[in-house]
Amino acid sequence: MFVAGILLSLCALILLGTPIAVALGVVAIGTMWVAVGPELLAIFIQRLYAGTTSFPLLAIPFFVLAGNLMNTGGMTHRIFNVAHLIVGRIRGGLGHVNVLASMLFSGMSGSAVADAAGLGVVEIKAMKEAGYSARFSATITAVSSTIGPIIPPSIPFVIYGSLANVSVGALFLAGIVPGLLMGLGLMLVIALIAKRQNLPMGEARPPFGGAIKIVGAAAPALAMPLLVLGGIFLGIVTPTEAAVVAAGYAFLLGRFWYRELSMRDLPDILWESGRQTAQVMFIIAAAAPFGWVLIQQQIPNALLDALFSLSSEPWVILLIINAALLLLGMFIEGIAILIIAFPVLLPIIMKIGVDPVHFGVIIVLNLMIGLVTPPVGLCLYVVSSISRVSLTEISAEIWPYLLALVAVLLLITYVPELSLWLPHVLGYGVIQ
Amino acid sequence: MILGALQRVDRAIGSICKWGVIGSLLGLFFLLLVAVIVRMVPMLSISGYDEIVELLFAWMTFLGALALWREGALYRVVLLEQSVPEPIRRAITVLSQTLMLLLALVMAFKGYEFLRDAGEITPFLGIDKGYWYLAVPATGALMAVYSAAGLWSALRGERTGGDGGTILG
Repeated sequence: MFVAGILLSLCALILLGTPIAVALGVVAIGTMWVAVGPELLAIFIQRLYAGTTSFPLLAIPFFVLAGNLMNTGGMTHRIFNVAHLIVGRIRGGLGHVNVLASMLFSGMSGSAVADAAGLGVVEIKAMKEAGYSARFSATITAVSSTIGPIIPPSIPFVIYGSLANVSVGALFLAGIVPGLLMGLGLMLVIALIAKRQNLPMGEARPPFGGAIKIVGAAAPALAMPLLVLGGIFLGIVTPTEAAVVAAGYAFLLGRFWYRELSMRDLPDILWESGRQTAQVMFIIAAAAPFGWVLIQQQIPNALLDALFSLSSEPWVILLIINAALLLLGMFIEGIAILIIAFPVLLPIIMKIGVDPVHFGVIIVLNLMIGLVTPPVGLCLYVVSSISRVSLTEISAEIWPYLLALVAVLLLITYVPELSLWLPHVLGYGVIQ
Repeated sequence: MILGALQRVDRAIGSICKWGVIGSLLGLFFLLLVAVIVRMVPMLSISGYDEIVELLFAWMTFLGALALWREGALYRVVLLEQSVPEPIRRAITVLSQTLMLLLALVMAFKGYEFLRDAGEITPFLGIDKGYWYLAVPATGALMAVYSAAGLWSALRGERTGGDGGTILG
């Protein structure tokens, strides 16, 4: 009864519009007070402070900063031009370009929102100019942005790695194949729609010299994934340091190579990156005492028993977890769900023998789908705002793409090798 | 006149948050960059590196949270609140502001007790760890002031609490 009270209070406060960090903090304070007494509140402060001191989480501000610098520093339209060169000619070409550009951008930024807000502006403008409907352009921009945090680097993977005490490098590797599958799934849907609606073919490919010029202009930006991921996998830098290198590289490119980044832009970019980081970090800090309370009250065990009373089959439990996460994702943003749900889910996945790296990919993919599921999906809001297409119109158009993403999610869930093969091959010790 | 002075104090707090966050972020950037370079030169080392990183990250988080608190931009789910009639919305706002005040007061008072009782000295730099822990009660006290003002406005029927901010993903 007490256990149910804790979880129901949290859900009620979140639904009533209390800031998530405040809801987590207040429920933890209330539980500590009722269970033991006010003397336990010293632990609340200690856990709250400790929640901000995890070294791997330091990667968050710098991946955010790198994304913001790239969006201001002239890299996004050059990446778009390369994607256009590769797949722009086929029917519905700019839809494919949109997805491919997001996949390329994913290798540099760890955030779906940075993709939707930065690359999205370039993509929607180009698609509208080529005669595509604003609705179609906005929808594809929203769904393709979800690939961002699956293909490394990835802010949600950094947070998951810190919470689960799992190698962030292994998670980055595990996201590559699922990210490519998401891109292929979305391109398949675009191809089917392009054929049915007879969407325009792209322009003829530019001459060889022109193509070389386009690739050459984007090459320094495209080298960033090699720098970031190569540095991590060769053991030269940690993921946190790689994020710093990425931010530094994005600054140098934008300022001195492309010359589109002004020093006057810098305070606003730094301030925005710091604010976005604090938004996540304050929830993480408040979730630390909440997680402590959950474990003290043995809530994960109670939920484990309840779940096992329904079924002890791993595939059924994974299906229930996926359904629950997708449902939550319709109302709450992904990172918040990740931080709140993780302490509850970890014992369950350990019990059914799912590799934590594999589960990291499942949970992050789930949460990315949540970014584009109505009624609450941050990428939907961002794209609706930049495209001036209503949320209702995008929501009506988005279902075939969502089905493709859910199909990829199920494939990733039930074929662990798709996530674990690459980390295993490259020597990251994952449980097989 | 008092209102004008309060507005100036409010703007000053906003500026302290902004430049504190920017300064901490830049400090972390240079420290981590130096750490990568130093690792490649075996003769060099930075003592107390972890301690400064922890100090900057904690202050960046809590100053950033104070800025979001002040602007009503902490991430929250506004779906239900936006779809209920005005009297219920007002009641929800009062509840929300009360809970925010409660959390802020615990951060301020219990945070101060924690700082006072900790009595730690950092191992490398030999500095009182209180400067690290101060981030919690200092920002908590200011959050409490903003929440008290927000609660007062909500009780008087004024719109308060902001529209909630967005979160990364």
